[in-house]
Amino acid sequence: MSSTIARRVRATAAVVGVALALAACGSGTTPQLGDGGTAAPGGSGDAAIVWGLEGGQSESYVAAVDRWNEEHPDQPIELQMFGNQGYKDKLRIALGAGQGPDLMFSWGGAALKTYVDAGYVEPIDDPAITDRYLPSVLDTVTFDGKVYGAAINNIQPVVILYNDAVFRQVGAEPPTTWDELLDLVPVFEEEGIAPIALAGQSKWPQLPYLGYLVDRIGGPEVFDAIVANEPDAWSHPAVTQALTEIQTLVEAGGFVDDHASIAYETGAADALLYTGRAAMMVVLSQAYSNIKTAAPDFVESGDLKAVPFPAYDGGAGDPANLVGNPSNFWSVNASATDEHKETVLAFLAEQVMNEEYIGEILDRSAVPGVTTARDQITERDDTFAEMVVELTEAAPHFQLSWDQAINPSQAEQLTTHLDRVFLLQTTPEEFVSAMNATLDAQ
Amino acid sequence: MTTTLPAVPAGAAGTRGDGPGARRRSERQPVSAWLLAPALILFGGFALVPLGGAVALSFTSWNGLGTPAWLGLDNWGAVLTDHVTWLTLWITLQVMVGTWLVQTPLSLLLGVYLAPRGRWRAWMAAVYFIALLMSSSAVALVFKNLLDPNFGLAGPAGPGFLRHSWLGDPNTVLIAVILIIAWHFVPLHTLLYQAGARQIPGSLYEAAQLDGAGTVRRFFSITMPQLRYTIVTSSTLMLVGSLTYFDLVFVLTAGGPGYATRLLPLHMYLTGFTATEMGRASAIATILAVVGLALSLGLTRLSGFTRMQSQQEGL
Repeated sequence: MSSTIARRVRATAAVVGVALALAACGSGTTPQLGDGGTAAPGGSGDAAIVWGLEGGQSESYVAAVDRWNEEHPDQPIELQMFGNQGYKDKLRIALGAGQGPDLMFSWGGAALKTYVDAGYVEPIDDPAITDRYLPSVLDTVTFDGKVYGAAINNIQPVVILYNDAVFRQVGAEPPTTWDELLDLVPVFEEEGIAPIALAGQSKWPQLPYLGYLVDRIGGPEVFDAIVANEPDAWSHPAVTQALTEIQTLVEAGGFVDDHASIAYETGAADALLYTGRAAMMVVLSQAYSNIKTAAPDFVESGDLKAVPFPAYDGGAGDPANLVGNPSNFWSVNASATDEHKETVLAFLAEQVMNEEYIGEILDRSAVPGVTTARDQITERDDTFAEMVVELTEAAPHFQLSWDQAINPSQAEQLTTHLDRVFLLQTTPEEFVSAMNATLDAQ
Repeated sequence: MTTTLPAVPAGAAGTRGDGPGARRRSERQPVSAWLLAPALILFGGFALVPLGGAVALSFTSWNGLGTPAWLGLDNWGAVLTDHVTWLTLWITLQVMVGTWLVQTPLSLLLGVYLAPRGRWRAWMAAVYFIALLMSSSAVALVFKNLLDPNFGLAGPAGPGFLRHSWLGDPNTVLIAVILIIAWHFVPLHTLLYQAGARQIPGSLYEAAQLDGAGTVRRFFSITMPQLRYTIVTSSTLMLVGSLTYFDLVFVLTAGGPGYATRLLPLHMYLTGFTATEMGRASAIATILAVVGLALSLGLTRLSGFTRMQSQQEGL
């Protein structure tokens, strides 16, 4: 009997030992979840809760909360950071259950509007907060003339980032029209370089193609009709033509093979670009900051360059129009206590988009959507940041990313059906009729 | 509760070779129904009440905020006429059958192999068990990176036979998902079979060996029949369990490419939390519950699990 026990002890020890060894291996490479969070010094009991999303500019959220807590120990703020996946669901459930944060991270647009309509978000009246922002930034969070969010990061138009070393290698110039883009595909294919990197599994990187092409071909009115839920709004010929162009690009081999299995969050799409395995990427300008973090030497060498999304010959839309995310926002929870509301509003006015905060964002080659940033940008002589400012200032229309601009139910259908367009599993006509059905459902 | 159930051999492993004298019938005594209360309260509170809530929600329109609005049968009509519902049910069925076909032989053989005592086998059992200790999300993230077609083992740097976009090709992604699920859950079923195989009296094997039966013959004539109920248990867990695969697939492929890996539970989640149509998602949830219930009832009925009898009569 004793030998049985001894064996069991040995077996258990083996399991525990190997498990511990694995855990030790893991801890070296796994980011600690708590890293981003900043606990208030006074304990979390009476602290105002702020929710943030991990991303290129999230270090500034942490720094701002740290500065606030240092200066206002009597009004502590606790910042809780989340990953992108599942955040929206968590926010919705928390708000619905009355457990939402005092200050919530959001994208503005239709999703925020559903919260506003349901009475979960308080308008921000303080001009000290709202007067700083550019009109295109404020538009995303303005409903019925009231402002429901304060921008906390950078203007993110979608641009074409490209690897200049690869372009020099094949002797090509970045595209200025859609046809030039199509013509570049065989040039890179011949050299064994993927023309365009695409993180298809994440689905949202596919949206700018449709957003831009529809805007270039038919103008902003096409999507305005879709947002307004006008019957058969998706049947506009610009939509079908844009989808056909996308499928032409897919069939020509424009995207990296295996684009369907690449998720943006893993950094693989960025890596394809900076390792020279792909020439271009159509992506939110945020990717520039991400690549600057992942491959500083590459950005330092000056080979990461950007051009606006190409024009479309014969299109009705203005080629200066932009698609993207004007910013991300912090919105005030309407059911927060008066004390917490006072704390977070003072925090927004004092620590968000002050000179230090703006400087940190500019350091990452990102441009905050505030008028007060202009001088600092000129001082820095950062070509990419200047390009983003110029594009934004020159844009007659800045379209919020489509998945944020329409309601979540339609957005889910949109991303799924567009994914199937990229996979050549569905035709433009089937896409249009499926999307028109979501309008009828309203 | 007045009928006496056939007695289960008490501690069969400990009484190996002791003969029938070592077994005794347990005496049945009337037991107070109150002893059921804790289990009933837990089951009612965490299973029945939410289930009723989901059924009720399936007749409403609700986006997760505010008050649900009564809608009648509209959600049910929409869900039952939507081809995506049937497609996801079909994909779920494929995963169900696939996981069973892959996992059962593997875990049966591993379990039987690991059953005899021995230092080497104990060590192997410990190693095999590790996969089960990891969270599904971690497993999914690891495989997602391993199978990355550009920078993972499935990329140019990895072995040639792996060179394929496993998660990006709609034709292979389901196979990849089934194999990864197997990697994660085979240890659990191996454990079941290992325990089952250890219950088989050694005297059966000795007798067979004296009669000249080889390893293969002993496996099919003694081990397999003796493990009959373990196979039923393990299969039920696998088949019904495949209705709950969500976290792993959500992290691994998010249901894509296209609809290729959109299992029914994932479809429910995406409908409820991404598309914020809680009513429609509740209708899918109800379908899921009904399918699961029918499946486990059907399995126990078909396999004679409810009439379970000792496999060691006369030993």
